[in-house]
Amino acid sequence: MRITLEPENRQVLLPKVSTVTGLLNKLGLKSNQALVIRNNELLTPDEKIYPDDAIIVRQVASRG
Amino acid sequence: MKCTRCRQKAVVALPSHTAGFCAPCYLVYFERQVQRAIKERRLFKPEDKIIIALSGGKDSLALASQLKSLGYDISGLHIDLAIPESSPTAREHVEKFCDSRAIPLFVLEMKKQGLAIPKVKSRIKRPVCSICGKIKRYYLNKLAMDKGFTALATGHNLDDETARLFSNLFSWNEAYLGDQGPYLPEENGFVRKVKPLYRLSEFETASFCFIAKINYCLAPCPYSRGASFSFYKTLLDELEHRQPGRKLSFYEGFLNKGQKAFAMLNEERGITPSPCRECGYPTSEDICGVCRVKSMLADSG
Repeated sequence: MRITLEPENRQVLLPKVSTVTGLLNKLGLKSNQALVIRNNELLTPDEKIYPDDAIIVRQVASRG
Repeated sequence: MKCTRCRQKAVVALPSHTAGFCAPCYLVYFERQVQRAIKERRLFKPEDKIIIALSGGKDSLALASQLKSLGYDISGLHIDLAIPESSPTAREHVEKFCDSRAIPLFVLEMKKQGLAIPKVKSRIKRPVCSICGKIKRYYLNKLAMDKGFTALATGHNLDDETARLFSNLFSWNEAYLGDQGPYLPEENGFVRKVKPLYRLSEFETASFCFIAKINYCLAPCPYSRGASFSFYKTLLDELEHRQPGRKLSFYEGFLNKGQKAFAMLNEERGITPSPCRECGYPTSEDICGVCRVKSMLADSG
């Protein structure tokens, strides 16, 4: 699964993650700390995700 | 997850409200939260002339978009801090946003005022954030007063406000606690200041921007790394994750039960600001903070 982390625009590959909650846990994020986007749609934490997905994880905290 | 309002598929989950929303219903939810803040805290009225501080980030652009769609008389003010890593892109986002929505925009360039933030940073030893904040507040207030605006609105959200409250309580800063809230009245040379997004978290304003297709600036300020407020936000995120809704109840509880006591203390001990000897801006000192920075820059060449 290809993950793009924003705002730093960094790419990571994560195997064996099946839900948005699982993905956020792997990244050390809470569900209120990032938008999770697939195919230009927001995903809720209970959504299933798949190995071929390209996902954007956009952290929401303002920094300055 | 299904939308709490219409039972379609939800795209935003809000444990703090035990709710989830599809995209159209989320926009309704967001608008109602802003309207509730305006009404309950009597922030402003339809006849007010409002200037919004636009940084180019998600919160200020979300606020401008929402107030514009509610029909308020708004203009924008962007302060170009002249930070090479972030200012050009921030300004570009603001200009495009205002162009596309026919929002009048004022831009103040700190370089022209002799206050480019990298220059200020190079002449001081402590973090530049507090001075940068002081400079921004000065010019926001000055332009609002000079141009006859009746309210200055900022995009401070629930995370900003709870982190600030946490910090002020942790240091028992009575003066700051007395002034904290989504509404500060016009007095002593200061324009009325309002924060209509105080009921909404950063996650909620980011979700709003995504759904409303607002293209905001993601470039962080290069000088904000390690800022204590970011650390407090992370701590409070953990609390909110374990006990959804705690941030809003903490902040509303303070506004309803605690803030007045600190405001009364301020009144008892308060110092009424007087005009700065150099520029006339209201200050509790003989010379205001911005004039002191200008003087420091002049002295150090």
